[in-house]
Amino acid sequence: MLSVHDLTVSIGPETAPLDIVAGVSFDIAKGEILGLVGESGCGKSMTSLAVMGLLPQPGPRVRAGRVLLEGSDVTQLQPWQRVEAGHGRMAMIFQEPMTSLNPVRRIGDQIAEAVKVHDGTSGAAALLRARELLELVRMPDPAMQLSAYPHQLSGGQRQRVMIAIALACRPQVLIADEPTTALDVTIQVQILGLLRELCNRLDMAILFITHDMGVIAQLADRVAVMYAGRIVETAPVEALFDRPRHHYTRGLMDCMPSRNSGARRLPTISGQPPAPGTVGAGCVFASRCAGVREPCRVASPPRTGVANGHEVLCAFPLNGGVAS
Amino acid sequence: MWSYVLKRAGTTAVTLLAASVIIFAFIHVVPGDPIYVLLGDTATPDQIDALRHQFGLDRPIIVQYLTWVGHVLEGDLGRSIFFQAPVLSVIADGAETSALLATMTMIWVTIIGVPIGMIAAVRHGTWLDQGLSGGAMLMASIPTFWVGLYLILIFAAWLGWFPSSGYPSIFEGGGAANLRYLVLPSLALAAPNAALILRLTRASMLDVAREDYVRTARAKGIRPWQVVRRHILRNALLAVVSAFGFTFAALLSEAVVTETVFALPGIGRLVVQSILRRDYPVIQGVILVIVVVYLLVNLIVDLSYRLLDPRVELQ
Amino acid sequence: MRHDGAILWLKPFVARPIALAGLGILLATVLAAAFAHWLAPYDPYAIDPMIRLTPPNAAHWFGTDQFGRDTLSRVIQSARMALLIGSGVVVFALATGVPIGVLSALFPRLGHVLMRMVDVLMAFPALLLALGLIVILGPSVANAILAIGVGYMTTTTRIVYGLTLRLRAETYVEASRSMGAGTLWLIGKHILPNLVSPLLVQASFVFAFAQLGAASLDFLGLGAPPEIPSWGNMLAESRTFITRAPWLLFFPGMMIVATAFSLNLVGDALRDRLDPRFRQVFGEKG
Repeated sequence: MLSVHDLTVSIGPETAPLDIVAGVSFDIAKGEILGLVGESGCGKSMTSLAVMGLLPQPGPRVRAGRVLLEGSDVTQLQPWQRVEAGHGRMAMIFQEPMTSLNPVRRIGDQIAEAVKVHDGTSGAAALLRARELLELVRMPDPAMQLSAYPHQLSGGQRQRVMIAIALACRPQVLIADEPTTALDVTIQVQILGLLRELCNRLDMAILFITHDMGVIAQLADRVAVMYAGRIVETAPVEALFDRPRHHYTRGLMDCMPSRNSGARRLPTISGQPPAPGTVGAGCVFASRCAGVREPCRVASPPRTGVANGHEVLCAFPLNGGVAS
Repeated sequence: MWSYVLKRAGTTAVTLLAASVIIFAFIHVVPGDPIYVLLGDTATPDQIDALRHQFGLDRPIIVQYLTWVGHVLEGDLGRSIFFQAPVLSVIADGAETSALLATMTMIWVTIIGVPIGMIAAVRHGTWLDQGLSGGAMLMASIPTFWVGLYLILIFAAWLGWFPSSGYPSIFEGGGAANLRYLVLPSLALAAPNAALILRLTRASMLDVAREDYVRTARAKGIRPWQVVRRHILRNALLAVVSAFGFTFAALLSEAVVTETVFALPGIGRLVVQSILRRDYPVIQGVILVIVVVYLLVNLIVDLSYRLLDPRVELQ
Repeated sequence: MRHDGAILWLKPFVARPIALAGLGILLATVLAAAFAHWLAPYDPYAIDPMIRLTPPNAAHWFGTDQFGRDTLSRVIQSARMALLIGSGVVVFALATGVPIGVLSALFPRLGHVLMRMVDVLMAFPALLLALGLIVILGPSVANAILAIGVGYMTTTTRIVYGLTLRLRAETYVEASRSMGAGTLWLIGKHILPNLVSPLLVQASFVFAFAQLGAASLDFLGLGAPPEIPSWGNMLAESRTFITRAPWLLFFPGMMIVATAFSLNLVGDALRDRLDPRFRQVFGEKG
């Protein structure tokens, strides 16, 4: 459904670009949730904004790569340009439901505005559809909420409104950029459940971005782990959690609190991710890697398939379960 | 909402009360005893004492203040020494000119400042934007009276399109056509204020354009100019509305100079003339009236701003 | 260290040629004021009835006024008054606004009273407040500085108050408070050093608007005494000759505009290099 090839996003001058996203590739099928996980600053949000055509201007730009939506090339197209070209069925929800809705316009108007773009209906018909969408996202008392302002809703309700706006275009692909990070844990569980349900019911492909391995374990079908602008490991969710092959993925999992970890101090990955532009030859993770060997500092590691649908960007991948 | 209105009106009343003390004190610290001004050099001590008693100047200062406040509330602002008439009626004579001048200026400020500021914001970072913002800063750096003098030279003396000075009331013959007397003065007065509103409109539109909800709007697939119209503009103008009170204050001040340049019979020129004539009761009265108008305008602007912003309901 | 500081301050100007031009005009004004005696081609006070109201020519580049005085020489001489009034107002606004603002922020009870008083003063439009003070004090150069300065004392106090509140809330200030730091030490070590950059911005804007305020007072005959050459006084004197000798008003007016514009440009460039935390304390108005 969504296919991203070798996407590269750069900042800085044309002659000496700094790549903040370097050659990212992934595919998402219908009814599938791909979790894109990584630390803040690893380029996961930039990837999603680049795919959506919402990179802030002036600022970062897509320097190379292609984005295919159901086979059609939509690289570099902004949402309105996609709508004009007839490929408008990709939507996005964001991290901050507090600030992502216009504070001075009613909820109904804000949803109807999206309906109008995609269905061409307006007025009462659009509002009716807006109400249906609110029902679809399980908003309590949807008819009443149409005339509410964003500040009158709770954080979870606002995120439901954001999802309703996204669903207005009957999306084939939904990008969710940390949609639950700003919410309370109980609300978070509800929203995740809703996304799973909608994914199955509407047969959407979802790209779910988060820094939280716990959320990934709960929601995703497949996982792509991102580090310093690169995807370092891709695998089905069970395979990744059972047998992480990249040292970075392993590190992320060791940082997760678990029921039996008790009062023990959680381990951390020492060091800092490299700043863009400071990456030289060799593996980007070499400076923090527990299993680093001499070749890692000299040559870029190859992308290797270690099992069915399981790829890792490492010259010396972990041998499944055996700590290095 | 109503509790906010009451609270805001309360603050205004307290500020006005404190300001009234300063305005009252004004007449007591100006050089020269007002009694001498009234009676001249030839007064005998008995006459002075009698008049002092008549004006209540021999009573404690608190009593004098309260008496003055009582009179003010009844609309009695004292008597003009020069005109030998009630201060309030002297001020009322200039009110028409000043009110029309202020209104016309605010219209120019709005129709020039807001749209050009919008254009600069939409073309942010281009040469057009830099030219417009730079030009606005230049306009804000020009003394209004200097602009006024050259407007007189060009459009009154050379081209003869507009009268150069004075203003006959629209109610005493001439009708609305007399408004042409106010075109040049209002333009001169509008220049720096329009420049400030232009820069403010531009800045607040750029601020709003960075908001998350604008990104949401773009994600919906709305065309760029629709995003500007429906999401950026309205929210940005909310901030501009709140600046109109401030602009109005600047305008009240600068009108003093502009009315002098164009010899307009408004309360601004009245202040200047009264200062030169040492007609202290009139100066005091005008300051009081302008402070009251200024505080009221700010109150109204503030409340209408709240009315336009739905978020206030819960606060 | 000092050297690095100077380079940092010049940075915003190098990137913006127009701001550099503003800095240049300011420097030229300062030089004109300092070397007025050498630069002026004629005695600015010398009267010559034979050459009244002559248009600009080779001998008198800016023409002559109604007394036959050389306009160029008077324009140069007037730079002194412009700088005196501008720096006087800035010094007054900072010397009053900084202590009031800092103390108000550090001692909330005192601050509540003082800031309410500032609010009350702000209920008087600036020029009206200046006129009222001139009536009480009488017209003179010192009183013009005071009268204009009071209006900017209030805005400066507000800005300093807002900045100090922010600084006070910063964790390192909290930390040093909790370790028993004295108030004076806190002010000297953490507050004042951080106020330097924003106050330089404020000083530029105050200097700029003081030029316009002084010109207005001079024009109304309530500023510097008429025998002292100032750009405002030159405009006031030659006002009646506007149709006969338009150039008389052009040059002094241009000098006011050039000075105020340059200061606004400099203030704008400095504001853009301010810490973003502080930038929002300055509205567009300055």
